[in-house]
Amino acid sequence: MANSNLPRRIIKETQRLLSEPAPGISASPSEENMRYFNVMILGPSQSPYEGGVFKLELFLPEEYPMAPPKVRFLTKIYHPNIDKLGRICLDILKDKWSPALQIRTVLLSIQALLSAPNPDDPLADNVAKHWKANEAEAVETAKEWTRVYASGA
Amino acid sequence: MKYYYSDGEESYNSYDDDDSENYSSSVEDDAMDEDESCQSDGDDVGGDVVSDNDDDMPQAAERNDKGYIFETEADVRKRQDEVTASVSELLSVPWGLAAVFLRHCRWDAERLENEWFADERRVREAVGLTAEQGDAATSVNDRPLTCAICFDVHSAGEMISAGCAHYYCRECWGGYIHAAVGDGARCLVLRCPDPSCGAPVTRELVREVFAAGEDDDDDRARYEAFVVRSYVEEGTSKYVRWCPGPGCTLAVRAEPGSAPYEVACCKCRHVFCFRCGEEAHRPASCGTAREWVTKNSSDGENDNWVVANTKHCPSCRVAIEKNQGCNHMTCAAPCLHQFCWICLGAWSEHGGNYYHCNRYVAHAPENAREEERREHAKASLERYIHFYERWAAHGSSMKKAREDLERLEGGALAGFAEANGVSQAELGCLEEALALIMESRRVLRWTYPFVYYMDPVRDGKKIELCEHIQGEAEDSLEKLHKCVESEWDELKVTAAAPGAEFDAATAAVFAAAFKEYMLKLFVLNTATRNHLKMLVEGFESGLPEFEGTL
Repeated sequence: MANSNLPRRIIKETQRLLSEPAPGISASPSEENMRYFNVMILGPSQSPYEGGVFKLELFLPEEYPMAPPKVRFLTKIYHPNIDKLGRICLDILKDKWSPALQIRTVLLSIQALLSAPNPDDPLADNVAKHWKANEAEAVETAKEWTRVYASGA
Repeated sequence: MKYYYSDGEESYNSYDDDDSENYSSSVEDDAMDEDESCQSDGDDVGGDVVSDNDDDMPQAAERNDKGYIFETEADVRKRQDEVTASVSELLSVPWGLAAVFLRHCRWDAERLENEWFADERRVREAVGLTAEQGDAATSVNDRPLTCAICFDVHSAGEMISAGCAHYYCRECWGGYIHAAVGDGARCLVLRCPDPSCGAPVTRELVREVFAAGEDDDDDRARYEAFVVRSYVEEGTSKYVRWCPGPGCTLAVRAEPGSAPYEVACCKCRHVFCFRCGEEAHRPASCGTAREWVTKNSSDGENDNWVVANTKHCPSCRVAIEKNQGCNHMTCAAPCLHQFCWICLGAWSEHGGNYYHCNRYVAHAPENAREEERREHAKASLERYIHFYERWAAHGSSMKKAREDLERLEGGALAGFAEANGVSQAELGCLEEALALIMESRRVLRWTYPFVYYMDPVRDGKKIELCEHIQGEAEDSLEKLHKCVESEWDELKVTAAAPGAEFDAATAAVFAAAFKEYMLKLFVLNTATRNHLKMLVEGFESGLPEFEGTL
């Protein structure tokens, strides 16, 4: 089985994620593939995503932890650094990845990204433009999307 | 084997009539020096794993007195290790760190020393070091530690840090460096895996991590290749460059203060400009050459290829790709039309000394304004194509000449000499001719961008003069090239096949033909050399483009 020779690190990380989950974050491995995680992040308070429950998928590639995990939003979200396919523009998922980082730190960083959108380093161009041109309106759209797509789970 | 040198610092005055030995004499001396100077093997200081091919020529340094020397990769490494070692001693830091500091200062030891003694802390901080920090450290603590990457517990001796407080096991370090090396030059700026720590991963640490396993040989070699590339490419590039010849592994080191305009690689024969790394582009300046090359590449590779490589026979319209250097074309049977590759005019019109197809003739402008604009655009394209075609044609002819020369030197000449009872020295003229053809083609090639960037209105007179000398030189060169190619083939028909016996009569016929051929070749060599000399002098003198670049 694919799971039979799972590195000790992944087992340990998984155990810790389940026993001491980070606030507002849950991550549990899929039963068929221990490298695939179903993730839920609660929209941080005082952000346009407050009250929303965002689903993500996280996959640990064969090279993990030397290569970063692959993470993507499954829930639609209006955010300048997340595109319509759910891909996330976050340095530690790319060139700033370090094997000393973990699934937990990655998810905490994504949660922080929800609190602090960065329209200067955009992935979703039109969202970023909207954000820079009229932030209040963009935030309203983000709240609206949160209500429509991220409530109820 | 001979090596041909020419050099930009020296004027072309050496091409005197009685100077035909000039090309190779100094070079043979160099070849001897090389044999005598095989003392260094280059991999002692750093114990590098990357070995050079044994047939890489200059073991220590191929010296010549032209202001530059050739070095193998091993030589370059040795120098790099030497400067690292001396800096390490001077600053009292481990050599791995010395290399990090040096790279930060673009391998300029003097700059590093100045910066270091002015403000040591700033240099340290610039490379990510915060406090007094050593180099690769194995844990001294004898308590087993948990590696923060694999989460396994390891004995103290297995745990390594980049001189900071973050210890990881040897295996995880291996994976970490392997991933970075796989990404490319990123491995040179690798930091401690701890995201909050900037401690650089030094060569020393890499060496320690890879010390054990043979499995790591590839990674180690790749890493070391990036290290030496950093030294040449990021660093003192004012003085060191790789030979840009395809597949060539030699480096050229210019002596301080000299920036040779033309450097001929002693291994691959590529002739390039040390200043800009382009193919040698005398008499055009580096700026002109760069502009020209950029212009060419922006016009679409395919178009360029078609324009440069195929034409239609003006008589029967068959498509022709040129496979020889000479511009005198004879179409395939049954057409047999003879024409000039450049202007596609009948070759008979090129007869005598009147060679004119280097000259650009603009079409008379039309009156209607619309028409005029269209014509103008077309003319500027036509003008470009005119120059491009000639530039490209010289380039491919140059390549053919080079291949011919390599074939001759690769045994064809020796075979011919043996079969026909002539000495190889007698055939030296032929090699000389090919070398001269290569050089003339190269220089002529770059006269086209040179003229292209002149203003047809303002520099009209000058252009006329340029085109005149250019035409003379090309005329002479075409004759020489034809003599070396087709007339040589004709001579070979009268010669004995390898292994066959000559009867006395045939031998006499051959001897006479051979003598005549060699005399002709000698005359053409001399004429072409003179024309080349005039060409370079003409272009380089009195043409303001050149002032200040030599």
